[in-house]
This record gives sequence, C-alpha cells and structure tokens, in this order.
Amino acid sequence: MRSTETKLTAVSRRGFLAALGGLALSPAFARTPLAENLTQSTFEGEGQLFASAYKKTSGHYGIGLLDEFGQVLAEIGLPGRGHGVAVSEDRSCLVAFARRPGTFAVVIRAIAPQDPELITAAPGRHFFGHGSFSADGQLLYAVENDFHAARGVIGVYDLTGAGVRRIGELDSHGVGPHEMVMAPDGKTLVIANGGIETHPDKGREKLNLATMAPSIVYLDAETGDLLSEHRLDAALHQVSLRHMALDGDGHVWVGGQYEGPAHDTPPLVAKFTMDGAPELLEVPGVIASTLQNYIGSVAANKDGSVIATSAPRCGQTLFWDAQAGAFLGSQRIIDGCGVAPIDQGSFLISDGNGGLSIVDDPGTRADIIARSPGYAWDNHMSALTG
Amino acid sequence: MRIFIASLLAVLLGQPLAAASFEKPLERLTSGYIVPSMADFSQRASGLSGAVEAVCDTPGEETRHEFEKAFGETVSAFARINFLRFGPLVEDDRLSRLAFLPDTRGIGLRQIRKILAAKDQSALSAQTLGEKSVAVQGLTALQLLAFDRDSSVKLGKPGELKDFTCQYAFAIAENVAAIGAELERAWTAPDGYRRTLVTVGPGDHPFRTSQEAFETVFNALTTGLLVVRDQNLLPVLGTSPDKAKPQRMPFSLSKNGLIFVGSELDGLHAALLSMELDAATEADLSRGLDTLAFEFSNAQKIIDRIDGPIRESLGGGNAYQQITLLAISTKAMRDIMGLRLAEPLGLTGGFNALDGD
Repeated sequence: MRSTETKLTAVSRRGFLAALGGLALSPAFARTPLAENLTQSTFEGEGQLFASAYKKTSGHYGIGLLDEFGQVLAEIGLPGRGHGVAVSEDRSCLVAFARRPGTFAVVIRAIAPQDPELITAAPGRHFFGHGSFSADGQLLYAVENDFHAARGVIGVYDLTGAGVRRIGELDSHGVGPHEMVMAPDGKTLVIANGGIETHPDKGREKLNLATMAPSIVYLDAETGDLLSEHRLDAALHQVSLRHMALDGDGHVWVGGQYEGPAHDTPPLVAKFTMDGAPELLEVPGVIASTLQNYIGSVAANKDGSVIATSAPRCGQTLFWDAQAGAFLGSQRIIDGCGVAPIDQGSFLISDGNGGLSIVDDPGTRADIIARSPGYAWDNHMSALTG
Repeated sequence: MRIFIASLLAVLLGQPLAAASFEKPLERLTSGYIVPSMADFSQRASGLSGAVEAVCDTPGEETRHEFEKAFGETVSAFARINFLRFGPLVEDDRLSRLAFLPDTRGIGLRQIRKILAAKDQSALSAQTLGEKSVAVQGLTALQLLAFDRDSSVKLGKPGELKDFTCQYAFAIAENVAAIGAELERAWTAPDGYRRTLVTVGPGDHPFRTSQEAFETVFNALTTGLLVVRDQNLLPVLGTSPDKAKPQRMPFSLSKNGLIFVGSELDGLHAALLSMELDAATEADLSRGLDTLAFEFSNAQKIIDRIDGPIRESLGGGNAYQQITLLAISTKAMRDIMGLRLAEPLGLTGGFNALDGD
C-alpha cells in the first residue's frame, strides 16, 4: 500500500503540473526550485503539493499550487475571489470554488491533462465555497445556496464526461451550508450548515442572526436521505458551524464562528459523530477571550491524531489531541488561516501576508519557510498529495 | 466640539474617525522614499560586478575588503527596499530573484552545489542566470558563493573552481544590477508604477481608490515589521540561548545580519515618516506616531549595543538579550501600526481576519 501511495504521490504531483500545460514556460513556475530540479532530472517525485486561493497586490485572484518548500509552482487565475479547494481521493482532480456567494468553480484534472474547466452555478443557485468528491472521484458535490427558498443544497456534478455536468441536487437540511466532507465509509456526506441566511440582493449581509439554527448533518450521498442531524444547545444557536475535518477515527471536528455579543466566549470547536452527542471542547480562558469568536479553518495532520484550528482574527492557530479532545497549545501566526497536513504529523499554515509556516509541534514556535511576495493567501489550503 | 461631532458621526455611520486623504501621502512616499531608495539600490548594485571582477582578478586584502564593502552596501540598500512588496518588486519574481528569503531548508546552497558540480554554463551570464531558479541568482546566492563559513571572503581564492565561481559570481552581480536598474526604471518611467499608485482608477487598474492603494502600502509596511520580527529575529533566538541560531538572520554569513535588520527598520521608519500621515487625516495620530518613532529609535539603539556580527556575538555577552528586546520592540511597532494607526486611517484588518467565511 505504501508503494502505491508513493506512486500516486509522484503521479499526481507531476500530473497536476502537467495539467496546467506548458509550465516550464510559465513565469510562475520557470524560476522555482522545483523547475530547476526537474530540468536537471534529479527530482525524485516524493515532494508534496498544496493549493490555496490567493489575492495578489495587483488585485488579481487565483489558485496557487505550492510545493513543500512553500514555493509557488503554478497559478490558475480566477474571475473572482476563491475559497476552498476540493481534492479527489485519488488526487487526480481538484476543484476550486468561488468565495460565497459565487457563481464559478474551476476543475483541474491531473491524469488527463487539459485546460482547467470553468463551471457556472445553476440558475437560482450560488456556490458557497466548498465541495467534496465521491469516493470513486466520478461525482463532485458542491455546497450551494438556493437563495429563493433560503435553503442549502448540495449540487451533484458528473465528472466522467468530456465536460462537467450538473445531474441533480440534494437537500442540505439546513441554511447556509459551508464545508462538507465525505465520511471514511465513502457513502456519507457530512455537511456543516452554518445557519446564516443570505440573499444575492443583500450581498454577504446576514439576514437571520436572531433565528439562525446551524447544524451538522450526515447524508446518504447517493439518496440524499438524512441519516443524522446535530444541533448545539439552543443557547449556542449563534455559533455558526462552518469548517470541518476528519480525525484518524473518522470523527468530525468542526470550527465555529459566533455571531452573538462580542463579549461572550462560547465554545467554538466541537467533535461530532453520526450517532453521539456533540462534544464541545474548551479553549483555555486566557486564549478563548482573544479568539474574537472566529475559527477560520480546521485540518487534521496526516494520521489524524492532531487537529489544527486557525483563528486568524487573533493570529493564533490552536492544536488539539484528536483522541482525547485535549487542547495541546497554540502558535502565533499573524493572519494565518489556511492549514494543511505536511510531512509526518506537521502542519503547513498559510497567511494573508504571503507567509507559509510549518508547525512541527504545538509547543514549538511556527517556522516560516517561505513568503510569497505580493500574495495574500486566502482562508484555506488543501494538500494535493497524500 | 468638532472632534466630538466627528466621533459621533463615526459611531452612527460606522465609519473611521475622520475621512483620510491618501493621494498626498502616496505621492510623498514615492517621491520622498521609494524612488530615491530604488535609485540608491540600483546604484549600489551596479558597483558589485566591478568588485567581483577585482577580487577575482587580483585577489588580496584590499580587493577582498572592497568586495565586502560593495556587498554590504548593496545588502543594506536592498534591506531598505525589500519590504515594498507590491508593484515592480513583486513583478517578474524580482524580490525572490534578488534574495531568496527565507531559505530555512537550504534550497539555495543545494542548488548552487549542483551548478558548481556540473559547471552549469547557463549560470555564467546574467541573461541565462535570470531564467534559472530564483534561489541561485541573487544576493543570497552571491553570499553563499563569496563567503566562507568563517565569514571571510573566499571569492577569488585559488582552487579548482575558482574561474567558474568567479564567472558565476560576476553573472549574479550583473543580474542583481540589471534587476536594480529595472526597478528604478519601473518607478520613474512616466507611465510607471509611481503613476499606478498615485493615479487610481476603474477598469483593469489595480486600485480603484487611493484608499486601496494606500492600504496596499500600509499592509506592506506592517508586513515588513512582521518579517523583521517573525522571520529575521525570532528564528535566531531558537528556544533558548544555548539553542540560538544566528545563521537564521539573513546575510549573517557575510557579517551583514545586523546591518540588514537595522537597515530594514531604518527604511521602514523612513518610508512611514515620508508619508506625513498626521497631515492626511483629521484624526489625531500624533501619539501613535510618536510612540512608533520612539520604538524605531529604541530599536536602533538596541542594535548598536550588540558588539560585532551576530554569528560571533550571539555566543556570549548580551546579544541574546538584545535580540529578545529587539523582537519585543518590533512587535510593539506592528501593534501600533495595526491597532493605533490603521483604524483612524479607515483601514481594515488582515486579509483573513476581515469579513471572513
């Protein structure tokens, strides 16, 4: 299994680069250390790749592909601000979504190199920033807003044909769906319904803060049947459940953003299972009061034993023991938000100042490994290699 | 009374305390700081190739000293522009090509070794070198080629690779000078970036308003302070004095570490002062600006108190404590910028912290 994984890693890394076409000629790639290695044929194909949305000081938006040294290997321009990047299980395809409320997503395939494909949201629907693949990689699920009915839906897209085709949608059983993951069984979608109603006529204005009712739902990915639904206590109904990651045991870690009074310090991190009650996790008081009630990203390290939750408003990333649910510590990364697993057990954290930092140990200071000039890395970062 | 009404309006409208006007600060910044600093860097960089040639052709104490001087002056001038991370400096990878920083994983050294081992001819002209990896073509690469582990100049010393190394170093010097000249031109040309920054507009223009342009500049300055502290100082401190890593200070190999950091801070302060921000808004920024001035002055005094190059001084004496103080001082500077100046100027917070998702 390990050798297969290694092979996949090598294929996908080279594949993603090839998929973007003529990279050796692209300014963003030509002068990178990887290009130097590739041209000297000494590259061993063991490196790691990451993707993140960015904004440049030139005002342009896009998706950047980065290597494990934090060097930008390639860029894919986007028509507007991007958000999350979904990666297929076999790492052969990635989809970058527009920031909500957005109308575009871009599909990039690694195995069968072709130009990135731009897909547009269906009439009456807006992409809401995240998505997920079916286990076999043939379907893409996208969180969307049915803004006329003020309900969340999961758009289902067929990726097997020459072009991406929307073949249906599932009810997200909530309002304002945001991040979504495919459970380890490959059959169950877990969706964070943030609970916040918006409408394109009102931009990003939050229309229902007094009545919002976020939820975590487990759906049968094939039938859309609601398998399980969790809400926090009524007193916590203004904790918008937004971002999530799976730990090594398949439990779902969720990071929230509190829409209530600024002086409150409600729990912002919780662990969910399909059948059990949510486990609310405590951040030590001295840190809790600095978070400004905002968790930006949630990610697990490679073996799922440690969870990272970024809190960009206070420039801290918090770390958790996945099994015990214990707070392990935090590290300061100003405007750090995107988090992805790197190396064996570490995290790569991107920030709005172009920085890329590695945290090897929750108790050790983040090590800045690169700073991409002119880039502001956006909210999320995805690992493209296993 | 006027301030009270403005405050009341600000509360009612959710607006900054006083509307700021950004065209003039931007004009003052470009004329008073950016253009002269780019010109200075270009001029210093243009002297590098001659110093390389001299130390390679007639190696000796004098030429080595002249090379050290030319290199140090170029590094110092670079430190005064490296935080201007927008426009010409980030276009065409210029900043990374001038200095590949940070390089915590030793990419530059590894790639330079490969070039040397293969006697890669494409490294021997500025034109072909400029197309190679950003890690092998700038000041950080020249430092690795030219300085020995004990910080002495090794460029020009006898050895099997002397000629190749000298030609490679010369190509780097010419490449750095060429980039310096490009930067100067890009800022001074009639339709150059100076106009872009000061004359904002709709359409494909990077900045729709002067506030957006100013925000880019302000963010660059706060990021510059962040880089000084989080990237150039804290890694040096390690986890304890006995685990300090002086090599993590940029350009410390050539004994220019503290010169680099000092010039960065000096440049950041000069850039900030050039804008005369207190004249840009009705809000009272004087206390914030005064405190900032105190911290910048304090920082230079701290640097002055450190005896000798950081790789030598960190082993004993008070250098560890002074670098710790410097890190505290730079954090204070950034906090003042972010907490006490940004809001009255009507500027928003960090990219990810703002209006998140």
